[in-house]
Amino acid sequence: MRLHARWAMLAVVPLLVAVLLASGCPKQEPPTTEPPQAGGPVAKQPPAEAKYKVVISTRPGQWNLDERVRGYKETIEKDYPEIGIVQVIDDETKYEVGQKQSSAMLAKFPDLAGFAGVNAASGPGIAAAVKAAGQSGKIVVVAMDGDTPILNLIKEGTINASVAQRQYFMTYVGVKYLYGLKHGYFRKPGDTSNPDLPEIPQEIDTGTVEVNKGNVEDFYTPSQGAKEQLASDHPDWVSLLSDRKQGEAEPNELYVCIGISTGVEYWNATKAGLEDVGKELGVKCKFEGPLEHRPDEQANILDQAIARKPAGILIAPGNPETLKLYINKAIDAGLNVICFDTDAPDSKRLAYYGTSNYEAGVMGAHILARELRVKSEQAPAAK
Amino acid sequence: MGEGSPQRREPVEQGSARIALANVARLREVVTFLIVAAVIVFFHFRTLPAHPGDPTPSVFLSGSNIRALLVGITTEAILVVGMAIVIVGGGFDISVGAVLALAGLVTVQTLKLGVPLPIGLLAGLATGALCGLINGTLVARLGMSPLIATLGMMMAARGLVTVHVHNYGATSSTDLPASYLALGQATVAGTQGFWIVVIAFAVVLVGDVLLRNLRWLRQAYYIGGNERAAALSGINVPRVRAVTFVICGVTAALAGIMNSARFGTATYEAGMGVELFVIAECVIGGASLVGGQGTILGAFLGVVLVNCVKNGLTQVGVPPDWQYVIVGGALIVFVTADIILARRRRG
Repeated sequence: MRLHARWAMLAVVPLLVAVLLASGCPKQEPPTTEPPQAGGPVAKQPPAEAKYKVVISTRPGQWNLDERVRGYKETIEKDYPEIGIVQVIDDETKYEVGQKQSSAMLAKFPDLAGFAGVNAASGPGIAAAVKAAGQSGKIVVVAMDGDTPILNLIKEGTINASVAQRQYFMTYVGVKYLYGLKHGYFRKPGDTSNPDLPEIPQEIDTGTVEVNKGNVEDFYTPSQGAKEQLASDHPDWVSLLSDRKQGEAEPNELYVCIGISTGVEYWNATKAGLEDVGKELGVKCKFEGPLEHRPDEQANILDQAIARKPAGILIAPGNPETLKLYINKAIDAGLNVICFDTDAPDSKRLAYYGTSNYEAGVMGAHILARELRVKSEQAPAAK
Repeated sequence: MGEGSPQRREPVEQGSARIALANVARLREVVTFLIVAAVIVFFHFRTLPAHPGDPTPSVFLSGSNIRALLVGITTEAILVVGMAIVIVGGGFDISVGAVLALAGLVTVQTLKLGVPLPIGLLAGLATGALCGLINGTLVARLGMSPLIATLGMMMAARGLVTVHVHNYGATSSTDLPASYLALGQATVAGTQGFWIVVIAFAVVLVGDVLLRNLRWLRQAYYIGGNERAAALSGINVPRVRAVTFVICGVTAALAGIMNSARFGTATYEAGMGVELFVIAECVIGGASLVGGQGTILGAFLGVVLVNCVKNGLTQVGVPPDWQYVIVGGALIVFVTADIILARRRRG
């Protein structure tokens, strides 16, 4: 047995390595929407004399985050030559990993000027490292999203600002268009059977907003301030379906919303949007999804949702490739599916309503540059 | 297996021990089966009525929901076969989710080279066997704790997949041969993924029969029950224990192959976190983490129970957070009941 085991190892290890190497050779060109080498050191090393050295914290390989990183990189390269991105770190979307990685960066680059985090866990991870190094308020930190820990860190001054998404808007407008499809107020994109009806929009950028010390208090609500701004920001969405017939919704008319990693606070605003739109339209809206980042489990949940034949499905695919087949299955079964928050563009989904992730990165880059300049101006004054 | 239970006796009493073992195991399986039936009846009544035009009376028992459930449990059903065998032998393997991802990746990348389907499948299975062999060697030959050995394997395998996917991207279904995708996606009898359901059930059936009847595999019960006594009676403990890990690796690889065929892609998230559910399902189905106790049928019933509960709770609108509380609570209740019953049996 011992001899056999050794022979087996000797034979299979090179085979395994050969297969992995051969299959990746020649190296695939990444899709044009994704940044090259999102996870490792940046492709173009910044000049050593860059005035402001910054680090980006992300989870490489996740499509929406890669888009945000691309927004940061391209904006900085184009508009802010004084900023150099010295490294992109993988925080695995976990506070504790982000803290360790950020601490390593602080040790590696003693003259680091700032951090940019592109997922909800990045900011608190970076902030913990910055505080532990006694650099709170001295290093610029720009975070992503408006979860309570981020808001608290903005209030105390460790995080300068955050780019908050509008999850409330995604589900609010998403269910409205699904309802409109169900009750014949709209038609599907490309559907020519009823040309008199307007098509639902194939894409809606639900936008982002900067959170800073000046407006942070507005975000301590379930909708993260979006509900209060709905009428002023999007009066067209409020008036959407206002001419619908009262009582036309079927009893138990159900709209299913499927998220992923649902244990995080991020989805609270999503649920708030669902609750409000459900009350407004007189329908049931249910939020489901695996607690962890398990796209295969999310596919099972979608498959089970299809069995319930809901009036419409909103889904934030954890992995577009994994979910594609089941989104297509739902569409083939005659159900209406809209992606929100994250997209599966290669599937048959009807539309995508969510943040333009690239634009979120662009916004973050502008905030980062502004804060670095402010900090730079304050430093001589302090001396 | 607890103190004084049938498997603790020396192998010279194999006949009577086996009968007692079978009685206890059968009783436990019957209990689990009855709970599964009760759960089904409960959710059937809670999800009345079904959709208009559906011949079945409730949403829970609708054909489409049952098909979704069957396809949804395939990965865990295959994984519990290997896991139950390892647990019976006194170990456990937390690397199954990562090995699943690695084997799926090796399979699809091998198939992308243009090799025939059987070669691609063999490459995936060989990957799982190798991972299992390494785990088994570390545990059985070097005496390493199963937790440490399989934790290391979990991190190494997941790391390999992550490195590959980050550098070369996820594999798209357009890159894969149609015969492979048909394995996981073909619709037969109205069920998309029919063949993976058939394969999963076949693996459970064959595994259960072999664990009950194959002499050298049954030795895992004696090793798990009392390793020293098993060694004294002439059982080659390191070899049998290593083989249990190899079987576990192969079943994880098979689950990975089925998973990547089903979704048409090999991603770094595949099987992430599934290992804890699989271990919990084995325990719910009657296996003991101390070893020497459990059956594959029981573990499979554990899979069915957990997934019926999760599915039913979703159907009746219980938020995902509470579903975990309920599944975790059920696990504690089952194990507590097991301990109390075992103490009563011992008097």
